[in-house]
Amino acid sequence: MLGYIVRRLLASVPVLLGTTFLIFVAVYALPGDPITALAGEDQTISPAVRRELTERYGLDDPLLVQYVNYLTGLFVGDFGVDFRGVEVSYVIARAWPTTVLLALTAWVLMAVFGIGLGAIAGLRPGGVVDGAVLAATTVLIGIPFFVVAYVGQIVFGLEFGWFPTSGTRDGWPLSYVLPAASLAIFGVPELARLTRASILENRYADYVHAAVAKGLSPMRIAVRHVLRTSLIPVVSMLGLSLGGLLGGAVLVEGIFNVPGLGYAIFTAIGQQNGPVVVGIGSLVVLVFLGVNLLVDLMYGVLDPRVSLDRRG
Amino acid sequence: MTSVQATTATTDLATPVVRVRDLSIEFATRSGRSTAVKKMDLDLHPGRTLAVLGESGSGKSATARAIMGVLPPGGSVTSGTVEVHGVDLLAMRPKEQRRVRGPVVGMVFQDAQSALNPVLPVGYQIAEGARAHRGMSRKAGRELAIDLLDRVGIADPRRAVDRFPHQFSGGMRQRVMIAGALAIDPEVLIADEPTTALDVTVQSQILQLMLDLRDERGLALMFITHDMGVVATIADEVLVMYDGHVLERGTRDQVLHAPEHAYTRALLESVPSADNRGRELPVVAAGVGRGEVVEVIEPESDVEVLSRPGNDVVVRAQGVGRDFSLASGGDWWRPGRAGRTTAVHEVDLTVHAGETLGVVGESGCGKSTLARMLTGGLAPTRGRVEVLGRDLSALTRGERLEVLRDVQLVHQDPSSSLDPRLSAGAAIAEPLVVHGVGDTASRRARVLELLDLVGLDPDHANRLPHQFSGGQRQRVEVARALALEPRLLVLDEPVSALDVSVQAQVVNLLMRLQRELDLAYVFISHDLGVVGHMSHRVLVMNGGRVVEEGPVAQIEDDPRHPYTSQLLAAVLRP
Repeated sequence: MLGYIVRRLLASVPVLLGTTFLIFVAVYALPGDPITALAGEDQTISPAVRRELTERYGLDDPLLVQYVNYLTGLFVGDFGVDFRGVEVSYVIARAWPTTVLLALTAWVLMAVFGIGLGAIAGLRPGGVVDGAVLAATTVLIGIPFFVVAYVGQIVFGLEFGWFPTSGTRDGWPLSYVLPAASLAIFGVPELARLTRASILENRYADYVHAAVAKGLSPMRIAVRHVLRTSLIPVVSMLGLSLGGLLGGAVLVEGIFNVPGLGYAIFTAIGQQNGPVVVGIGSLVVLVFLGVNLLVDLMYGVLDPRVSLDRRG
Repeated sequence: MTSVQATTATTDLATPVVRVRDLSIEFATRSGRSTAVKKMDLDLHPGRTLAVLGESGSGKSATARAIMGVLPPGGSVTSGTVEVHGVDLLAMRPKEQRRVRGPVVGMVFQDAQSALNPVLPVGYQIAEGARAHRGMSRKAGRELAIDLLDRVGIADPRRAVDRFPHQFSGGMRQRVMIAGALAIDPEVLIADEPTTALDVTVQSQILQLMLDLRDERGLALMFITHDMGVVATIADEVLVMYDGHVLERGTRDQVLHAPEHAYTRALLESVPSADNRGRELPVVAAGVGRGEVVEVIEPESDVEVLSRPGNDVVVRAQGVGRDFSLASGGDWWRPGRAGRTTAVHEVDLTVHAGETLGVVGESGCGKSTLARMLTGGLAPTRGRVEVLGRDLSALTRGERLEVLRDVQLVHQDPSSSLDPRLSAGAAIAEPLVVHGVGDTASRRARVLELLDLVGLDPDHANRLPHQFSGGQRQRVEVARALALEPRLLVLDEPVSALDVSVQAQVVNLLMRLQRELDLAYVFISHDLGVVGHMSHRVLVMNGGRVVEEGPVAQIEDDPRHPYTSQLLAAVLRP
């Protein structure tokens, strides 16, 4: 097991290098000039200041040199300084708790509703819940989720006034309900359908029949035999969806003005604030890799047939 | 009052634990409802075994599953009662049924691999019934599981209890399954073909275990099987089913030695063995029978019709063997430990025209690997294979293809080896197309000729595999193998997936084709009976080696190797 974790961590090094490099290149390739963007379109900057700034941020160095310098910094935990002179690590430190709270809230909502609805639908196929879930998920899959976000904001925030429409001043859970729900809602249909399909596949398995033949109660059979095996693929999808949630957080935090990582990267792109974009981007990749590893370890726990030590 | 009680007590001994009356089961199909079981009666008595004998589709499994409430989707009981201790199980409420299914009547399923939950430890699965019904603690359940694992003959039960099903062999899994049914201490055990998927030596161990348990605990045993040998070993009473009807019932000796129904007789006679060696087998005309009317086609004559081998050597293998590498672990920067395993050590064999060489062995003995090497599908690691005197490894690709036309392989399961979207005619014509033989018209003529040769209606050339029965599909497979007029057929368990009566048809067909076409066969099987019936010589394999070789009579009557004796001892005869 330990050997497997070490191997996986080593294997994630090239992935990390590749993705950070891609983000770095993408930011580098952005049109316009960061110094002008920083100063504002109308401002004139004296050539001396410009030269001084260019030199301080190494903007004249070749791309690879800049990248290596950045990586060296990253290696010792230095995310660098952005163009406003603010430490990127400070930007991240201020924003991450908000995003983690938002993503986890959304994640839990997604798991509860996705698995719950999928399980009820799968255990009673053809029933009322099943029909409703199938119809609702079809509709939801067809609607872009930012539409849901705006509609939710208007209906529950403005019309009914149940939840704040913007910011996090009211704290958790009140301020987080709307953004988390809009974030969760795009994962629920897929998750519910996967759960349902997986349960239908296992419902008539021989070992379920064997459990019936032992006179076990339907509840015990559903939980111990049907759900236990059906949730294996669901768990791996739930893990991977955390990455999607982090991506979705950029839009949702923008819409609801939640001061998290997504909001920070959102504004940084507008300001061509490269160091912040690359820093947060790398962090998201790192988190994603970590979650992936956890999911695979979970897989080994959930399914004893999977031997992690023998997998390449 | 006391006298009444006494009477009840004495009749209790004679009354069955389970009494099934008038049971009918239907299945919803696309073309309406079909009857699986029609007005079935049966009784199960303590300490006795009722064997329910029948072929696939006879309704024997449906009966068991209806009693246990696990009919497949679409199946339902349309009439009848299942009385357990005098109370109708089917009329009970679900909660009451659960106090009968499990605690009173337990079940062992055919395929322990799929009937055990792959993600739960076996100890948990053995104890869960007892824990649910007797409120046993987790710890007590574990001790019970350890006791039972020990009882069913699993070594080191304290460690085995925490293992998962995939860590056991097939026979061991079946023992685990039995332990799980016994944990709730039932009075009745229903076993649905529990040994069908097992090797013969393992099968006899499991049967012995079930008999011991029956006697030890006074279990009423209902044993579903299609195998006459199993019936002879385990049954007290026998019930013969066909197409949902009970055709015959009686004691084991009555049914096996003085069967009344023509179908039972045909079933018994159509089991191939060394006793009816080389004779044509009686055949049950499939699909004709309905209830009492089963058409049995008796053979025209009772003389041995085995072909006479010639002197031409068709295939010769010298010291042929094969290793496989086992990849374990490893990454792109660090290759894993590469292990090697030897599937076949060094095998010598020779087959002449018109001769059948039987290859017998249990699963994993290397017989299928040998088949693939003989047909050129797998290159040997060592040794050489000569087809009609030409060494396969010394030929160019083109020459090999040419030579291999003379060697064709017939697979075990025609329902997976035939393309479900390709008509029978197209499947049979495929080898002709691949080798560029003839034009469209001549190929068509050849296909019709081949269909006729294997006893299929040429009008059925356009049918798809699912429109044929299992036996007919295997005929299509044989016709395809014969398309290129080969000299040798390598038959890898060609009748193992078929019912006894259908098996008889295919065995008859193969023997007739051999006589007519002077074909050489390598007949691979785990079934000594079939091999003894139609082979000229036999080769016994174990652990990738040939342990014994000789004429059928010598192997059967005077085995030299202990493994051969062990195999023969495990064969169950009706």
